[in-house]
Formats: sequence, structure tokens, C-alpha cells
Amino acid sequence: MRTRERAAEARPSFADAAEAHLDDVLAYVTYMTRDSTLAEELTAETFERALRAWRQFDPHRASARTWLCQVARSVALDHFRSEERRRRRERAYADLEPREAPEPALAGLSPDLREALDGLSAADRELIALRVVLELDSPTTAALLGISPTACSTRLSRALHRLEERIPDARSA
Amino acid sequence: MPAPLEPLDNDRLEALLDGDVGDNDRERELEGLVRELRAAKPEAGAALRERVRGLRGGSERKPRWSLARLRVRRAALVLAPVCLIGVVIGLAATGAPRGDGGDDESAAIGYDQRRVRGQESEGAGGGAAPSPPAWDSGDSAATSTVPSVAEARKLAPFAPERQAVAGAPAPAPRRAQDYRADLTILVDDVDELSAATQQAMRITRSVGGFVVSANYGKPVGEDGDSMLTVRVPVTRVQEAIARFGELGTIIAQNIAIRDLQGQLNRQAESIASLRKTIARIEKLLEDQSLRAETRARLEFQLNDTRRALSQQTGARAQTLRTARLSHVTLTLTTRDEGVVVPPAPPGEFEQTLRDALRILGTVVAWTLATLIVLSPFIAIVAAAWLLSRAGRRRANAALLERS
Repeated sequence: MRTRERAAEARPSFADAAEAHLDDVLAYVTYMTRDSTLAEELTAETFERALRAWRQFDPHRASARTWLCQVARSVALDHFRSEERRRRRERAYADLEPREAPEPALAGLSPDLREALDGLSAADRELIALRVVLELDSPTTAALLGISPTACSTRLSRALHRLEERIPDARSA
Repeated sequence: MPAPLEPLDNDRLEALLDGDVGDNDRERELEGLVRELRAAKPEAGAALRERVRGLRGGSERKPRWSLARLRVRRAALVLAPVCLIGVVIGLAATGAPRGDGGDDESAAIGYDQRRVRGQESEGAGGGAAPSPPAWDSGDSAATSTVPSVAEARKLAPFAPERQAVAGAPAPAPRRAQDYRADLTILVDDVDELSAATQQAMRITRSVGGFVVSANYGKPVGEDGDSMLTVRVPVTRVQEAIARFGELGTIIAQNIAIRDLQGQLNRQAESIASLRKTIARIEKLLEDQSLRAETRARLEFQLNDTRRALSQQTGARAQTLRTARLSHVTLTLTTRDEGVVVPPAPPGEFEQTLRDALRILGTVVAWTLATLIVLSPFIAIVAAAWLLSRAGRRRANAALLERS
């Protein structure tokens, strides 16, 4: 009984967790997709999925923010997979439907930086979002991505390096 | 053209992300980059916020069962019935706890450990030598099927010619038995050991038996051993054992008698039945008007039956040979281990505990055997799961690189 009470105290309600981490999840998904409308859709889907699976959340294993980011990652990957299937079908039937131009995301960034970010892969953007923007530590990010902390640090270093290299190109363009 | 930038050292990068101040222009530029990225963190608009708040109204579904949620108490609730099932299986496999069980056909006499000085027993005149335990086998001699006259004549050699000698039970009259005896006799020294060994061989031959094997170990210092395996006619085995006992001091004796009468009777019945069948088939074959295929079938059957008769006859002869001669293993030694007190029979609690441990041992053995048999499959499944997980991760990484 005491263990259950302690667990209940350590575990926030879904409402509180959603309120506290909505911006974090949105930022993460925005960096991955570079499309603010799509990011909002995926964020909403993330919280729907999280609500259904909320009882599986174990506060002893990870924080609510980390857990929500994991759900968001899963939602984003599902979206990328379905997009890839759609593009394959379109190529197969030579019926390229024009996509709507995505709404520019990350409006608060300078154009150079935004353009440089656009040139990175989703994997690099994801890492920058988690480590730099959301300020998750290396072990947490590594666990979320399923890689070692050393690999996480190395990849971040390379992602920032690529970003730095693209910024002068963006300026000169 | 500006020199290409090198990636920052991991530790230095971590320090800068944690708020450390840049040491050079490059680090300070990176700091600026980080500040700009953090400052431009997207925020959820009112519409999205309302949409997510609206989710709170929905009920949180009851959790599906998940192995990850299993706590110790829940694990115990699952394991307890599993253990109970294992115990039931163990009980079924080993049977109910036995008191003092024994096979129907064999009667192994309890290990009889005592000291006998020549023909004297300890406490001469006072304490009597322990009476041999009952060794009546499954088929009672009084109520079993009486063999035919021919069989009785053949069984006559089993009638005991002498009365039972102290400590060695007599073979049952009119019954075929496999009589086995183990004796350990203590002699005084290695000289006597050699003499006693020779005497034992002479005794064997004098009662009509023969030595199967003799093993005389090279004495080490004052100690030595010899082991003889002999076969003596079952009608004179008691006499032989008594005379062996005179060679020194009996410190251990074990007698095992296995009744062979039932087996012999069954073999006789089978032989009689086969002979009748052969006679019937031969009579049928005398008929000259038989069709060729019928004759061939009967001849085939006749050959089969004759073969079976030959086998049964041989088996019965072997049984008779086994029953006619007893096995005696005689160990002569100079090592005085001291008087061994026979262990007291276990009490009820101790017996129950032994049975419980035996069942537990059986359950553990079965569990280990099952795990050993299943382990390759478990390993394959685990490897497949790990590979699929690794494959999924690689696929996700590749997908993110392409997006």
C-alpha cells in the first residue's frame, strides 16, 4: 500500500504532464518535420496516443517529458514511413500529385539558420532539438534514440558541425 | 577561402551546452547559435492547447497486461501456481511417498551388518542372532500355480538339502530363484588373506561350484583385499556361505533373492502353446488338397512358430541355468572398519522430509531437463527478437536520414 501511494505521488496526472510538456513535444516534432501545420497535427496525435498508453508510463524509468518525446518520435516515424510509401506509389504510377507547400516552421530563427537547418537530415535535426532546444542530457537522449551516450555526443557534434558549415553557404546564397 | 571547421570535442561541446563560456571565436559563435535555437523554441498556439486539453475529458483506459508492469507481488501470484503445478507433476512422476516399497518379484534383504566370530555369535547364549527378515516374493509359494509333473521333476534340484545356516536364508523349495549373496569377511593379516582366498576357492569347488573371477589386490603395508565371484549350486549355497564365514569374521552380508518361478511358468506355458500350434499346422499340411497359397501361408506360419519355440526354449534354459546356480561375491579384507551400527529406520517426519526432498529433486531435474531441451529454441527466438530490434533501429535511422 505504501509503495502504491508513493508511486501515485511520483506519477503526475496526464493533464498536468500534457500542460507542462506540450511546447517541448511541439518543438521536437517541428524540428523533425520542418512543417508547423504538420507538427501540430502530429503533436495532437502524440498526446492522443499518450493518453491511451498513460497507464504504461513508469515514472521510475523515465521522466514524463522523455516518455512523451518517445511517443512523439514513434508518431513522427510512422508519418515518415507513410510518406515514403506514398511517394513510392506516386513514382510507380507516374502520378505526381503536387503537395501543398509546407508552412514555414521555426519562424523565430534567422533565415540563414533556418535555411541551414532545412539542409540537415531529420536525424540531425532531431538530435539538435533534443539536446540543444529541449536541453535533455546525453544519457536520456541516448536512451530515447536507442544509442550509446558516446554515440549520441558524437552525432550531435557532427550535426552541429554540419549546421555550422551550412550557415556560411546560406549567407552567401 | 576560410579553413574548414573541425568538429568540436565531445566534452567541450557538452560543457558549452551546459552553459560554459566559449574560449575562442568559434566557441562563442556556437554559443550564439545555441542561444538562438533555444530562444526560437516553438510554442503551442491556443487551438492546439485547447485540443490537447480536450483529451483530458476522455477516460484513461484500463491498462492492458504488460510484462513490464509486473511487480514482485504480481510475479509471486504468477509463480505460485506454476510451482504448484510443478509439484503436482513431480508427485505424479515419482508416485506417492512410499513406506518401504519393493518390487513384486524381487526381495532384497536389508543390509545385515554384524560381527560373527566363526560359528559364534556375539553375546553367545545371551542375545540371539537377528532372524533373517521375511523375503517372501510376490508369488506366494503356497498359492502359486503348481507346475506340471514334468516341471516338478525339473524343479527338484531346488529342494534344499540342508537346513538354513544362521544369517543366510534358505532358497525356497520348489521355486526357481535368482539367489545372490555378498559377503565381506575380515581376516587378521595378509598371510591369512592369501590362505583364506585359496580356501574359499577350494570350498567353492567342493560344493560343486566354480570361480568366475578372483581379484587379489597387492597388499599395501599391513592391509590387503581380495574379491572372489563364484557360482555355487543354489541347493548348497547356505553351506557355502557358512563355510566362507569360518574363514574369518563376517563384517557385512547382503542377500538378494529374486523369484523366477513366475517367469519359468510363463515360459513353459508359452512353449506348450507353441507346440500345440505346430502340431495343428502340421496336421493341416497333411491335407494334399490344399491350395498352393494356403499351403504357402501355413508353411510360413509353421516356420515362424518353430522359430518362436526355439527362442522360448532357449530363454527357458537360460532361466533354469540362472536359477540352478547362485551368485556369491566374497570380499576378504584385513581392514578393520569397526563394528557398524545398523542405522535406525527413519521416523515419520524424516521419511516425509526425505520424500519431499525427493519430489523437489525430481521437479528440479524435470525443470532443468525441459530448459536444456528448450534452450536452443529459446536462444533462437531471443536472437531473432534482438535481430529484428536491431533491424528496426537501422531502418528508422535510415528513414530519418532520407527525410
